[in-house]
Amino acid sequence: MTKKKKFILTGIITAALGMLFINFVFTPNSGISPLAFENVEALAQQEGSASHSQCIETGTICFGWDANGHPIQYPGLKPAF
Amino acid sequence: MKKLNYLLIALCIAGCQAASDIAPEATPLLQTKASSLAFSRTESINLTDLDIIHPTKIIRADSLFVILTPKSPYRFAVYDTRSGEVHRLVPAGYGEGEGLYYLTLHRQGNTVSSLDFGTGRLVEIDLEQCCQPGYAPQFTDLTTNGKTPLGAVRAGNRIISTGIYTDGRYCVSDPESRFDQFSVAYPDCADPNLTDSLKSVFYASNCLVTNPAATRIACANMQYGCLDICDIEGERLTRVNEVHLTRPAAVFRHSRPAGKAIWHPVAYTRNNLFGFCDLAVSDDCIYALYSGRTLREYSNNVDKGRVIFLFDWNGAHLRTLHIPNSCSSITYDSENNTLYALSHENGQDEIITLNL
Repeated sequence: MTKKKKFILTGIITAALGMLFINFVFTPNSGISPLAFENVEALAQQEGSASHSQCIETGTICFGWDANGHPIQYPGLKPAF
Repeated sequence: MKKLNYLLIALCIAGCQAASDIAPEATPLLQTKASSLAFSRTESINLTDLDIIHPTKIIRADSLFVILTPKSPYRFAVYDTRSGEVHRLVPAGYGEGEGLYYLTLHRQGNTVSSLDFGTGRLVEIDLEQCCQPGYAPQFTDLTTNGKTPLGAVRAGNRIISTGIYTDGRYCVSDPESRFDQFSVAYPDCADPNLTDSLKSVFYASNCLVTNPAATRIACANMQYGCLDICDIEGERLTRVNEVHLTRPAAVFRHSRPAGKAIWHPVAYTRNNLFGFCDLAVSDDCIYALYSGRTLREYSNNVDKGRVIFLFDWNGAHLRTLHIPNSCSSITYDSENNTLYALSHENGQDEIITLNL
């Protein structure tokens, strides 16, 4: 194989891998499928303070449990991330 | 070398493919038996001009509009179209005669009701007296027996509620005797392995209505398109049909994260298609204002819509009406076969008249 062919081959492989990487990284919600029942670290990182600022303002109910297991509810919506 | 070339071509195709869209597909009912519905600009009522701020739901009753204003110092406004007067009811607060968080309005006969999901009290407004000086609505506590109600309507002497319940999706209560009867399993859309506790949170935001005879109840989920219709038979409900317009896109947390004070067991992805904004009813059908919007595209306007589905009381789809304005609420007047909608366009909150 000539040097020129090797150079072209390397370029094509790099471009293909690059596009695969971009496709994987920027696919919307990659890694989260509908009705995913696994723990999601992104959720855990957002939670913790006794505030309803975790919920965005919509005409629905944002529901949670406090440290004592008591229900707390206020207007809003809890987004996944 | 040829095999390597084929491999490279395959790699390129894989790399160049369009990003997959995992948003649930829109319901085909949007295009089924569909038509457009116009409204007359001259018949509109501008609520902003009446100093009615951030209205979210409306109910029409004769010459009155009862309007839910959940961010105002008084949670309800009653606008009399004949006199032009606006009456304010239920001051904000936790105390007696006060209210905190309201989601929906429902009319049964001469009474408009709404559950305060912050305090668990159902407020009932008597339409014949609500414009009288000194009138005070009636409050009924639904937190008896440790219940956490999130939505409720009255059906005769009983009150039907949904909430964080694990013995059934609905509870029929007689507040005077403190009697509670739970019935009907949660719908099947979610994973059957979910606990009833998680299902109750998942189905927390609903619009509840009964038919005028109070023999059937419809429960429409706001966060995804599930319409549940049940017969009311004494103290028990029996499911007639459940309609699922789309597949929900939610994330569930099964246990409390270590060290977290407050945790939310259910969260919705930004591609989740929102469900029903409001219901209005007649003897023959259910008018369901539908969102079909995603958080990603509409942010905090996901709770509004431009589509009204008509279902019969068995849950069969009859028609689809596309309306020009983005609306958060609808109400039906059987006397003149007219739908009214609460429109939010160009910063204006208006009641528009949709002649069917």
